[in-house]
Amino acid sequence: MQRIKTPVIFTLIVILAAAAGSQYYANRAYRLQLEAGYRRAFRELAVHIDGMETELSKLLVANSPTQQFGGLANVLRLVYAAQANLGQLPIHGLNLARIENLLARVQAVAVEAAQGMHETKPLNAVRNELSQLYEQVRYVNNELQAQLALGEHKTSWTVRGGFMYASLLSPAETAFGEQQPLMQALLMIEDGMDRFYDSDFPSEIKRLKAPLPTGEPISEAEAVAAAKAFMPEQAAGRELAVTNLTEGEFPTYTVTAAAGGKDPITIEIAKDGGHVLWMINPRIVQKRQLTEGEMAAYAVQFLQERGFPEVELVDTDWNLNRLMCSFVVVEEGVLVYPRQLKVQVAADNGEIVGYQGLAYQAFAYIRKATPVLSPEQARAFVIETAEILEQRPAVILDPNFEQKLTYEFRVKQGPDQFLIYINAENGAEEKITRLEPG
Amino acid sequence: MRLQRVYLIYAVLCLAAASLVVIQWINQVQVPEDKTPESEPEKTPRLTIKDNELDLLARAVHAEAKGEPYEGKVAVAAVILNRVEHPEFPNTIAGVIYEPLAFQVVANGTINQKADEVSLQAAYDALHGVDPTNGALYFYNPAKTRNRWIRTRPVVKKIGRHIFTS
Repeated sequence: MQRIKTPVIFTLIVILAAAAGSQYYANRAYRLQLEAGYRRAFRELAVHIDGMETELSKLLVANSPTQQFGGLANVLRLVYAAQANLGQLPIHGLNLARIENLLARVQAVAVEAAQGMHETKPLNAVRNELSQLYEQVRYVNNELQAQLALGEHKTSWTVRGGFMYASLLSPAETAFGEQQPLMQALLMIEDGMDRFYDSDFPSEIKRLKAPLPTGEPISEAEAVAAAKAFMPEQAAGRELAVTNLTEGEFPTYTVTAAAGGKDPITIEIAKDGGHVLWMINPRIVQKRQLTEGEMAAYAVQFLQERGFPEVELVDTDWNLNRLMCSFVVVEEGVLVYPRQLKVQVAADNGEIVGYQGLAYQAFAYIRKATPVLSPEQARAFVIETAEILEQRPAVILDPNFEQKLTYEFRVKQGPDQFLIYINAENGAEEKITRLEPG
Repeated sequence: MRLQRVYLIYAVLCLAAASLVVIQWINQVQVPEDKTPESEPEKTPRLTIKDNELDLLARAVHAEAKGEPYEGKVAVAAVILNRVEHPEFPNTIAGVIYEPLAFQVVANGTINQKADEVSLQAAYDALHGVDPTNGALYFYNPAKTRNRWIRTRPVVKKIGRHIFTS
């Protein structure tokens, strides 16, 4: 017995040692790989911020469109790269809000300047802002370079629990500089940015926002009445009540239509104006019995019964036995893309199981414009190699949410199809959208 | 007798080690269950959302909002999409979801579970513009979070167990 036991135990010990060894080496290799990834991100961040500082400084003295355009392109490339590096570091974005904010502002200003490149002196409008941003980027760069000079290689990003700890606590609470000098350095840079004027660091990036629905404030009872009037069939046999209020960009009432055994339907009503913004019905549609044409007809009927103006179906999409029908308003033969409506139809019985009309309500005002160019003249602005399949007037939004009267050309280039929008007043190519194959 | 006890301890340790190796091997060979979405009828060219983006968003919803009402699931998807739109966050769905330490479900691997139909539908509704949070960027479960910073954010709405903040 003893003779058998000894080799068995020896074998087991060898297996145990092999397992422990393999675990150790696997763990070590994984940590080294992780550490290398974090170091690469940190060093690249420093390189990209350094490059950004150089490019911003050059932009401040550049006086020709050639140099300015090249500089702006480089700044944008470096901002994207730095943002990607920052995202790769094991730090939650919350703690580095000022650095992230700075990168986002540099990006916004560069885009704004690049969009004005057709003007003679595009940078003049944003030169002051660029100068302020340059000072801040220079500060961040100097600090990062100082950290690299101190010997970043002597520290580790993967100290057990270190980055988790850093991400969960605010800078004031993180007293772990000894174990996590790099983390501490980044937080110090973040804190150090306090020395710039607060006005330079708005809590939120100045963003262009789409208009919001407006109107006179309504009561909860009026919100329930609006929901009932919008969905009379669904409301029948259900208890409608305001179950929630939403604050934020624009206040809304959440009206829930509940019934025993049925899925609750949620209808969101704008507090200002009482507009129905959207409706969701979680019912799972089990089978597909209707054709796409029949379902689109149900959607059109739904809109007509509620008094919407003339609309055109511009897109359909299937998902889980539902058909999403996207409509835009047609006004005097012009497609008004900002005024968009979406209606979801169930494929089993044609029930309307979803509605979204926020954009329709928000863009109630349509800018009246008369085309300067004829359709034939506009056609000349479309690239010659594309085959034009269809054309029609359309109102679209530019990046500043300004309405533009355009001609929409559906064109074919090789196997792909595109929508090209030519400004009907000056022939500018406003927008190009690629259509995905069905 | 004492020697036998030592052998017994060795044997138990070896068994434990062997079990660890087997568990690790099983973990390595297990691939998250996945199914190719059913093909839809052929259509003319159109604007569309990539199926893989919808799937990833739905997986995040499924993992983050299990047991939440449908509106709460749509709201979780909407927060992710609001971050995609916001200049201070990555500008892709994958970038936002996989941002280091942004979502617990990525850290614990539940993001790899297949999304159910309700989560897919909720993600789809959010992708088509339904936002029950009016632009919220964060959400948390007050019973679970220890993050004091997030509790200072202005509350936009409470849906189920989640509080949504701007």
